[in-house]
Amino acid sequence: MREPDASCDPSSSPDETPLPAEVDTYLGRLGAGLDLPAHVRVEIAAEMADHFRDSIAAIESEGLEADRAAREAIARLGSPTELAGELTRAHRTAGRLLAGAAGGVFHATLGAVGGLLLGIAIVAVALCGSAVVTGTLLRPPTEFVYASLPALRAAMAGLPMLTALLAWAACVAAFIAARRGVAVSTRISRRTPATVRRLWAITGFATLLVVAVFLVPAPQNLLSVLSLLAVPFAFASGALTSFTPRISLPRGKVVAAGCILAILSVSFARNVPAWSGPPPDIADTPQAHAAQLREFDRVAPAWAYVGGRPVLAEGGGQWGSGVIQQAVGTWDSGPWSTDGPGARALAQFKDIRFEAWRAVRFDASPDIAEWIPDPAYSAPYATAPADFNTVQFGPAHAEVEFDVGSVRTTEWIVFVTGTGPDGRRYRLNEPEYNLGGGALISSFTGTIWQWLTAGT
Amino acid sequence: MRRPSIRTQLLKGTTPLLVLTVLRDTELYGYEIAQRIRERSGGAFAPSEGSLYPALHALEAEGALQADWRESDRGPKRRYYRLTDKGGDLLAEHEAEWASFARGVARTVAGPTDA
Repeated sequence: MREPDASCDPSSSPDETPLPAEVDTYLGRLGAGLDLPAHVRVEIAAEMADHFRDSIAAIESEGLEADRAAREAIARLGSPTELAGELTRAHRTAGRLLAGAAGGVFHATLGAVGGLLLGIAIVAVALCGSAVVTGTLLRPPTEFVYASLPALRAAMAGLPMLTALLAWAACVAAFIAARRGVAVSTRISRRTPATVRRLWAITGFATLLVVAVFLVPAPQNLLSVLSLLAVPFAFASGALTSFTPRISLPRGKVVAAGCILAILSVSFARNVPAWSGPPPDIADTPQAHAAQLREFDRVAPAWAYVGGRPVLAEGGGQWGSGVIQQAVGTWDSGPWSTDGPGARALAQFKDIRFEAWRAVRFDASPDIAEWIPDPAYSAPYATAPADFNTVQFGPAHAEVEFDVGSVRTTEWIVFVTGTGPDGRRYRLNEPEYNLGGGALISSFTGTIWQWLTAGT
Repeated sequence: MRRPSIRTQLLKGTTPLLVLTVLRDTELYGYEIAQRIRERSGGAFAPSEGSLYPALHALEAEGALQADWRESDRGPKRRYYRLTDKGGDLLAEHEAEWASFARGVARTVAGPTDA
């Protein structure tokens, strides 16, 4: 059905004659009985009003008075309730329902893409804004808070925080997707907005909840879990609310705000050493480096460096489903190739294994924090034998415990140790990014369900 | 209880066919469609106005008709209906079905014929 545009709005016709009161009453009852979207009800009411004008005029031309002509015209159309029911059924075809669903999903997908970009932009602006504020205006208080609440600092660090940030952007995407999907589905399917809203809210909420809880593996902590769980709620709220935010800011104010933000950003960047150039190399701060290595020595003494570097240089890993899956030993080029000094040095070791140690932050310098084994523990959290095939390590597996909600146990450092020629166990890697990259910090990675059930 | 007449029952079932037929070569609005059917039948019958509009909207939902709001030559803006290609095909189907049905009814009513 092509909708009437403004120029064709039948209600604006100058030729219209007012309808008798009983006809208006009839049209009111007809409209009330139509279980269809508003724009369709308006069209039907206009069409039926036209019909009444023609019908009454024709009946009057047959000699009846106006009042009787109106009653006769009404009688010919029959009960408004029955007519409304027939018209409603006529519009609600299965084809329109399917088309509405398909069109809604398509537009919801488009909305999700656009909403994700918008959400990322909002999160980025919020982060920059908070960085500006905390970096320039509130920095001393935040440092005080950070120093007082190390758990908070740990929660804000690492990959789980990235999961949370993306989840926040996904909330914006879900909200916009639901709104677009509902709007298009309502228009095409000819079902009432209330019906479509409920359907979309229930279906979308259930679907996204299943996806978020069971199907999306990601680095997790309590913050990321709560953020991911917010996505289905954002979708449902987008489907159920009819509120449309209208943001109309004067262009001058937007430009002024942008300039102020830019100035503050530059000021912030200039004032924060970590942001004003390449990150300081821990190796360039001998005291901090030495202090960190002393902490590592609690794991095992380091084997003598080969060419100034540890035997193993790169690696990375994940924890998930209560199982350590650590792949270490992606050898880079040069001296770390399989026939290089690193490999030859490794050949001297026996009983090579991974050791997962609980990690805590280590303030290497005022703006750089690294990870060290938690001094509260004298043994690794878990160990797993390393499968070294002269080229690289295969995945290792070790059952671990997991304390849900505990920030401290969501971060580990994974070391590789081995028994050297003298029969002593040595540390073969140093999890420092400046010594070959790939600090072996691991976060719990898995679905929310795995996060919730790990260790139970 | 009053029994509905054969005409009423037939009209109810044949309204889509009648609508498609009068729209075969022209565009009409709702009231005109009813009048055109009445004229073509020589005043013998016209579809119930209460069933005409649901039939029009159902045919439109089915894709057999397309409706547009536009100015009328003789009055206010009207909602004009016209046949689509799909409507043309549907009309052909209805016509064939009706012809077969009408022949069968006629033969039945006429009674058995001698071989």
